[in-house]
Amino acid sequence: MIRYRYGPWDPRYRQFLAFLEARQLIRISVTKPERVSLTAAGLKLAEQVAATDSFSPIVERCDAMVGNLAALTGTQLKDLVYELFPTEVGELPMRSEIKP
Amino acid sequence: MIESAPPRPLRLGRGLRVLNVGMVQQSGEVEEYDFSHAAMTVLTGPRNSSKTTTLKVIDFCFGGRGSVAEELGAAIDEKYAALSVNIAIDGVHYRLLREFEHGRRGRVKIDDDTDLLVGEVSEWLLGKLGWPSLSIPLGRNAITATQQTPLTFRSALRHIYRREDSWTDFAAKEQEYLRRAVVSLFLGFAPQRYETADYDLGQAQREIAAAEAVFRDVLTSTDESVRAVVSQLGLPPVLNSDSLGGVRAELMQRLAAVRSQRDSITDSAALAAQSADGMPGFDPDLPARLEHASAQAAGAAEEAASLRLVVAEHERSRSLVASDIARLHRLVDAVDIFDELPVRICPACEQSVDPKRPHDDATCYLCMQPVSGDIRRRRAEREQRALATEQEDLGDALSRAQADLDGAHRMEASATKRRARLAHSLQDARVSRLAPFMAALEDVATEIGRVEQQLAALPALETILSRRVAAEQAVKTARREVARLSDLGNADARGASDTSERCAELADHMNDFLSHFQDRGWVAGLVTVSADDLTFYVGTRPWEDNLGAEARVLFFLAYSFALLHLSARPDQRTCAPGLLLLDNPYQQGLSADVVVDAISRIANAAERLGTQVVVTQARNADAITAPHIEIRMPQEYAT
Repeated sequence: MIRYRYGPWDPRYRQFLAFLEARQLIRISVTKPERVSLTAAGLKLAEQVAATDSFSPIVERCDAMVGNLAALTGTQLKDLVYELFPTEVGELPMRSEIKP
Repeated sequence: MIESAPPRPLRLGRGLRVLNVGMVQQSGEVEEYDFSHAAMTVLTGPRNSSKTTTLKVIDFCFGGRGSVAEELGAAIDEKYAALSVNIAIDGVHYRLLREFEHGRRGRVKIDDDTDLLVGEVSEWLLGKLGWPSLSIPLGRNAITATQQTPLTFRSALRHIYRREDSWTDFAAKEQEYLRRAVVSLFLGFAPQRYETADYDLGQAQREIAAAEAVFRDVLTSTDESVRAVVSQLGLPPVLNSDSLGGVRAELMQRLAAVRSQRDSITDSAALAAQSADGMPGFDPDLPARLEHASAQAAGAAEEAASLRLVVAEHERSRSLVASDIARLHRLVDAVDIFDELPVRICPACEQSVDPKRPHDDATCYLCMQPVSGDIRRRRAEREQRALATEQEDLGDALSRAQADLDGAHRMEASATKRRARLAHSLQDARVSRLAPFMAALEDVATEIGRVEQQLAALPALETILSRRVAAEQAVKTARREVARLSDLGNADARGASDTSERCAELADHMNDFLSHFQDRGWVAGLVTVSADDLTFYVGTRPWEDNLGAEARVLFFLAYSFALLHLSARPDQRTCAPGLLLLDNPYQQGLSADVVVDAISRIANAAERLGTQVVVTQARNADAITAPHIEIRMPQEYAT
């Protein structure tokens, strides 16, 4: 993850989205802001991935976020990150890598 | 305007005169009433012809505090834009103007150069008249009064402006203490009466009572506190602040002696410790062995700490390798899953792409460029194998480090135990050598602690005693102040010897006036004024107990007559108003010819003394025998 003005961000997200869109796994709305949602094929694939053992740690993390962090807005998430990780994120120079 | 007798123009002597009243209508038209042609001006006219209103206008310009509608009526508020009164004070002319425009209603303009708030006019008039500005006790008895109130011009005005509804009392709703203050102001001894120390004396007496109560309270509480502290700490007796110095010196001396005793014992103990190294039963190598054991324990602890760091580092590396292996597992699974999902939309142009589009096996169906076989899976599997080997190596290294750490822990525990045993032995040996001195040292330390505690309590005692001193001082100060004010009061009393004379003179003028009305409305005895409390007596009883309604009207005509005569007094202390405003004295069924006679006598007095009287009445003024000017009010308003 990279330290951007509004918090941590990975510039590869754009490529990931193009990868998924090219395979008709997601659809991206043209409205502002853009909305990303799973297609039927994407949903099916996600269920398949979630059932795989190697992805179980990631699934557990996602489950922990449901009804918790997932309900926060972008600004609230940014504020929370700066509050919890002032040294690791808040004080880093712009565009530098955030290390665990 | 009708002249019934040839009057002399109004003389502008000492005191206040009203020369002219002006009322500016909203249309710009100005109504003016000139009072300067005679000592007495009589405003006549039927009901609702503004006779009373004209007097109220004078009152309003003298600083009436209410709104125009409240003081003069809504009709005046609607019709007029400004009211003015031209006056003379001790012969000097002034013009007081009240305008009704927004923002000006609470102000009075004087001579176009002074702009006062309504509340400031009274003070201005007192200053110009040369009358004293006094504060009077708010109550009949100055000694018991707890507040003061200013004696204003408006309070005095109520005695010279007798309104239609105040012919049976000095002034409507006037407090007795205020009436006495106004009478004493006119008679010229208000400063003696109110600038004396009576009020201050009362205040000082209350303060002395409060200070004595505080002193009693402080005396009891401080005695108890001091006694408790002294007894608890075993201090020498403390009587007052002065004795504290002696106690402090005594305690300091005692502390120095005990400290010196402690130093002496400490030196003896040190000497004994040095000379005891050769004593039988004492192992001379014990300190060196303890030092060696301590060094060993420190070394073992250091080694254990280093090994703990190594173990932690190995565990972290193993965890990273495990997470890398898991990540590669995910990569392999993802490659398998996504391999079966061909690209169906061009990410660049977003057009649909057919995966079954004819193309060579060795080329991309999307861009037709040659492609090589997918080696991501093989590469990931190779990396996984390398990481698994690394994980095994790390496990071995971790086991070895953990075994070393366990050994280091055992060594550290053993060295620490040995050091503790040696330290204990050394301590026992030293204690046995110093034992003879310990009891004495403990006693001395206890004594030092006790003396230091006693010394620490002294500032608190000083504070407690200083409260007593302060309270005692406050009582002394209050007593001195009472004595001073009492002396001052006695001096004032000696200087006020002409008070009785002035009261008697006022009463004489009233009696002179009333003697002409004996059996013509006045059947009571002589008026006297008490110099002590300025009570007006008729015969032997207070005036209000002895007079009926008709007689009261005559009483106040007599009072007004007497006030006019104050202008004849040569001294400057007397505050002669020089003006009377009498609103319709035909009151309480008093015979009209008696009233006419009374007004004529007042007018003659005004003419003779050079003062001014303005009277209003419904009937014409032809019956008044004294020189006067009659102003017939021009308009009659519908009711």
